[in-house]
Amino acid sequence: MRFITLLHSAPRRLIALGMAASIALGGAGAATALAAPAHSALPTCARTDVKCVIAFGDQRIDERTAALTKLNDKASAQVAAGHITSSQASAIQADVTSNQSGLTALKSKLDAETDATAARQDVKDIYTQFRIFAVVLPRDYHEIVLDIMTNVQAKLVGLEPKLQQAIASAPADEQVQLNSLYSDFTAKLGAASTQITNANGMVSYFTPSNFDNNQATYRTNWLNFRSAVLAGRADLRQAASDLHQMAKILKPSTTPAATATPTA
Amino acid sequence: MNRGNRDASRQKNALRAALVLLLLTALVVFAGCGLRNHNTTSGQPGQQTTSQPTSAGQNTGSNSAAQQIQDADQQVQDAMQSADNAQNDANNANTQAGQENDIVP
Repeated sequence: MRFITLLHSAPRRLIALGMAASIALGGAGAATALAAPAHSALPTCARTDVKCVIAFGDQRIDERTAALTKLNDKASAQVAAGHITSSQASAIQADVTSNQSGLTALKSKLDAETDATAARQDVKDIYTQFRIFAVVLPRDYHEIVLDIMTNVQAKLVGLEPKLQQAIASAPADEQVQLNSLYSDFTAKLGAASTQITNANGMVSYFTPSNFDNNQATYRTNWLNFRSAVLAGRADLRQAASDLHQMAKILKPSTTPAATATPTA
Repeated sequence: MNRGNRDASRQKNALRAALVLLLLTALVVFAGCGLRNHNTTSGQPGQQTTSQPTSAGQNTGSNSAAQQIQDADQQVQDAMQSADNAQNDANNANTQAGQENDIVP
């Protein structure tokens, strides 16, 4: 109430000024949200301040090295959980090692620079030669997803003969429902297989040089790749759901069978 | 002299009897330990398992195709959960691509 009274008593110009300030602040907030989180307060180095440029570059290299280590740990965790093989993980881990070695070498070069222009070129190289955040991490994290999907798909395909056998031995009143689920199961596995093959076929395109050569084409391919991964995962999810429902019906117990139908 | 020899002989016999008793006791103890080790698992000290078969119903269930489907179902559900988590990581990596802003101070 007091605030409203105050508003009424304040001159109109003051209110207008306040509103303008609010809009300006709100706009600044939105701009901050769109900006990259790590560089909210960018340092500006004097033209010849080589130490300042080196410190900036070292920070960018450390961020990338840490992010690569995290990726490496994620791949190891998936191997430990049995969801990807050591061979699948080794491709990702080799990429991590290769990039970390390159960044370490670049850091040594940068740290030894005595000329600010040369140091600035080294900082540029952190982006253009490696593209860790733009290319490597998004691609390699998606590769982990694809590897898991490939293994799940193979496991589900390998289960088909057992499912057919179990359905054939099931009571006649359950077979209609089971066959419907099985039909959807195989259809979704086929669709998932197509998407996984498409996505795997595109992985090798996503390189730092392709990113820099034609960003528009790169973005289009990237969107297609992501769509294939997401669609393949949705197909696999449905196949896994069909399996789950069949497993419930085929459960060796005295409880009555569940009434489930495919939700595709 | 004869009496002395008899005493010595008695002592020898007593010693032999004591040795035999000691050996027998040791044998009994070792045999007991051996039996106990046979019935326990190597990795779980103190936890005993027997080599007797489990109930007939359990064996039949684990060997059936239905049971194998149950097991595979569980593994697939776990793997799909893992795929979801990996997809979240991939989405985060995709979002952080903006950090590649080519800024040079």
